[in-house]
Amino acid sequence: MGNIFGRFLLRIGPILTLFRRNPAQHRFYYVPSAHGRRWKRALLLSPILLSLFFIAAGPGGRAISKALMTRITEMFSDPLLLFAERSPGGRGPGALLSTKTGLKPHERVLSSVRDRPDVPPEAGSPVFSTPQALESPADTLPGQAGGPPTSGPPFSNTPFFYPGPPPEGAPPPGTPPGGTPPGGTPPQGPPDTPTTPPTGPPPDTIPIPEPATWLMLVAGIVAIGAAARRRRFN
Amino acid sequence: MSVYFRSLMLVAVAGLAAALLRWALPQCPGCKAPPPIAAAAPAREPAPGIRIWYPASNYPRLSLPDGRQETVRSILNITKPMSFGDFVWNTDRVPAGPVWVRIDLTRQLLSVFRGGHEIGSSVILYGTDGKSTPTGSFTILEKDADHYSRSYDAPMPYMLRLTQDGVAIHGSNVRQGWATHGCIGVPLDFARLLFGVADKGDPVVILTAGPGTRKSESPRHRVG
Repeated sequence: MGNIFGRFLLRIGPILTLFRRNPAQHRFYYVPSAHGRRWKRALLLSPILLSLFFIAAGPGGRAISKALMTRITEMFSDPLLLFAERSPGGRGPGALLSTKTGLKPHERVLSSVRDRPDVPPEAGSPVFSTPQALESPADTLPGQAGGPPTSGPPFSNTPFFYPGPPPEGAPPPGTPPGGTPPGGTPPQGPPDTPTTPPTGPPPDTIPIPEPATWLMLVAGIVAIGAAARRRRFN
Repeated sequence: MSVYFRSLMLVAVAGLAAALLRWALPQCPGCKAPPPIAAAAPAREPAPGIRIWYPASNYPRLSLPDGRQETVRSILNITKPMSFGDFVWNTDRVPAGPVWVRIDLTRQLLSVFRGGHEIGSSVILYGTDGKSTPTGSFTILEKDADHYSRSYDAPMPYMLRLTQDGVAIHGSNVRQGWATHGCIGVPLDFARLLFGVADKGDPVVILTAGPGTRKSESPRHRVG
């Protein structure tokens, strides 16, 4: 027990020697021992660390951390990201071809009875056509069908998801129509069509700490830097 | 021992002292614990895990191919990849509202939204490369619970017709490696549920990230 106390005194002692009074000079003087210097710096640093802790644990710090957390959760709860999570994956170009059952690859689908064009004829066809009258029966041939199949503007060039309000303009009408061209090449949209950048709603205002808090923070950082500089030059 | 370690030690000692002081001091009679706020709030949202509710201040929006945007208030919480033939349907605490259907060919998914809340999701079959499913915005033109296709000589139960030339959403045997001739095939039970919810004139959006999507590419990297 006594040994422990003695060791504690040995540890603590230099702190006391820091402020030892010299009766000859009648003023406090500094004892230049490395151990004491470190303790003095620790004493200087601890209120700074305490203030940093209270800044972080205070309402401002909590609000900042809460805003960060909500931002992170929003980032992870993007619907398209969640759709990608639950998706079984995309279908590759050769996914329907089976090369194991025979020499000739074949598609495991129903036999080709009809021939339906898979590309809409015009690019400027109406996007949301009014429901036409159902004069044509269920599975009419394309020659007998009334009009071209409704189709939308290309989707390959426009992003799925904007986190903000809708872009200003719909895709320009001159862009090629969506769907697969007969050649099978992907429709390369003109690269100069600019997609309007997402202009989201203003983010949640992160409460800014008081000027005094900022000053204290800056003073703490300056003190740390000064201590490090002094230590290096010494 | 560095300076920083020493200062941390001092901070810890100060904290311990403060805690001891707080414990030692008697509790003031005036300050009572505030009533729990969480208990007073009405439990409007269902148990977590069924669906993900978005904050009312910041609803995400899904852009449609015609430029419109649909607000999403909540979606089903499905974190594992669904396999072929799987579907999820949940209408608990979802109010009535306009119904729209989002079909994602790239991710092979179909999602049904009612009033901004996703109530169902399923893995789909879609058209082959030679007979691809058209993309764009459609409306449900016709409903037929017991449809029989004359062209293919096959039953297509719970059919929701999208185009005049025969593209529809209908129940089918959803298996990996299978495809359709342009229709959207969903599991039969899901087709029955969807048939009960969707009405004539409800919008259906079929999206794709374009042909040539390889399987090795993750769909999330193709967004935008």
